[in-house]
Amino acid sequence: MSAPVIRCDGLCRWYGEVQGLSGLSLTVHSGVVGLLGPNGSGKSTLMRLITGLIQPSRGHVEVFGIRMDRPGRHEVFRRVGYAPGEDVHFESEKAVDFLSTMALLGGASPAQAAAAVEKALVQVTLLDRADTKLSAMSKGMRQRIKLAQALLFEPELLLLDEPLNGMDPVSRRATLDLVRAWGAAGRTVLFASHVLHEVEAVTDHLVLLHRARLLAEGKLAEIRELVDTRPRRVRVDGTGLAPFAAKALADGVATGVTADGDGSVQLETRRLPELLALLRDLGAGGSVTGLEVDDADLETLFAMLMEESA
Amino acid sequence: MKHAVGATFAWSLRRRVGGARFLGALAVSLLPGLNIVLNAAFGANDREQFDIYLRYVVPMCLYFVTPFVTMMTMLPALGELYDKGSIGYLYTRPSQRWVPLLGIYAGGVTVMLILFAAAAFVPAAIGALTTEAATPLEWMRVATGLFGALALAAISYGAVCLFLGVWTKRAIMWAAGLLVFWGVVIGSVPGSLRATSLHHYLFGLVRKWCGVTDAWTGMFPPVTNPPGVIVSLLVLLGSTAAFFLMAARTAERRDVH
Repeated sequence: MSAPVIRCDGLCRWYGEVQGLSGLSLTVHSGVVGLLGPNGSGKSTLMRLITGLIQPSRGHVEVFGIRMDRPGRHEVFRRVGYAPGEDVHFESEKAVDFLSTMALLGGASPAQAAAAVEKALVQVTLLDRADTKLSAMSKGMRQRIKLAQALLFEPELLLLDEPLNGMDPVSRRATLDLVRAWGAAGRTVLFASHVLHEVEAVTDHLVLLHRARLLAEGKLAEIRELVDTRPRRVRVDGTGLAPFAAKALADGVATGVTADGDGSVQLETRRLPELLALLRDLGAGGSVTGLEVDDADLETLFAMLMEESA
Repeated sequence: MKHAVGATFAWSLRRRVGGARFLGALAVSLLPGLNIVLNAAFGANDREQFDIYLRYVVPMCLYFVTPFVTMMTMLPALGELYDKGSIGYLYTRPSQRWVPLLGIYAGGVTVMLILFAAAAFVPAAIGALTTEAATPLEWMRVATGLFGALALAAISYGAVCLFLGVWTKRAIMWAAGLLVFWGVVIGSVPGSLRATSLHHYLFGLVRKWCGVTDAWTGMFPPVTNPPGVIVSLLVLLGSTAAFFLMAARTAERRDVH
């Protein structure tokens, strides 16, 4: 396996008495990695620790083998582009001037900077707005400008903190395509979001954070396997389902049953295939009009993991 | 590196020149000279105009214009960058953090030089054009002397404000304390403590360069052994280097949220 791009070791960060991140150990290799978690789960804290904008209370981060809490960390930004969650507050600047400033700070000559800025504006489809002031742009456009400054000089690692906030559907799709292409080209993207389907759209490699802790990490399928050992909820709609529910409980196939007033039942089970087989066998005894298993999407999976963590 | 410094210098100038804050600082800069304008309009005698410049405009530029223009020019741009987290855009580039700070500082000092030039030369020009109190050369000599001292004030107190802006969210309070109390007040009161204040050395420069030994305000007490030009320059430039280094070190450590 290739050398890790990001390595976090026992990373902790406190804000006074508030825990921003707790004991996070994580290794990120190339490709697109989704950093998922609800607001306040520690995503932005992790991003800032990775970029060295804040210092860990304990533990450390390495990016391309360089410690981000030590002198010389600025060198790593030759290979890293970062789009923070915060809005771009250089309102009085034209897009082209803002991006040129960022490119020149990256050590480029004016000619190199101009070429890089043009390329980045093309990538985010804002070349025609180069001379527009940031204050005159919509939130979605400023998000794309943020992305453009991160894309300058085509970094090997892109750190994107909630990059789709405020974007219209067309821009969202274009940005997701760009992230996928970046990953397909062998580069690394750490894509932070609290919207699950956004992350699902670009990767199946997830890092789930909740309440400042690492909840789970790995391929979506691997995380689902973790969940398979936990109870899942099944809702069966219909009439005459009492014998089925009683049999499921008696056989230990279901660990809990709740009957709704309309005749439907909700069952909790760790043995889903057996429960479904039992339902099929007893189906003739009643009338089943609907069946819902709550593990159908990532949203459910995430909710279950959070519940488990709590 | 020169392109990186130049980029933040240019941004810093664009950010500061024009706009309400710049016009406010310009008004503060021109306020002491209002006395010359009013006297020119209402006919003070010629010699009085030159005295007003030496004994009122020069001290007021040091007591009043220097601290307020420095704070108004240096602190907001830096404070906003930290408060809104936008400094993160500058600190996630392959440049050490002192590089953008140097550009921001240089931009701020340049703006202050423009404002201080207005404070020194506009009243002198009005005085030279409306009276025969002194020859244009004499007016030019004292105005240039005042501008030289104000330029050193911009450089040294600019570095103080840069450090405070990087060090704390409450930079304006600390700056008011340092520039007004430590600078103006401590630098003016009799006693050995005044030697710790940068204003003491600015007063030393205007004594030598403008020939000012007294002020109408009474806050410019005679000093039996004022610091010489060389000592004053060494102290002012040395403190500039020290405060800039402190700003650079602090920037490496301060969290950006």
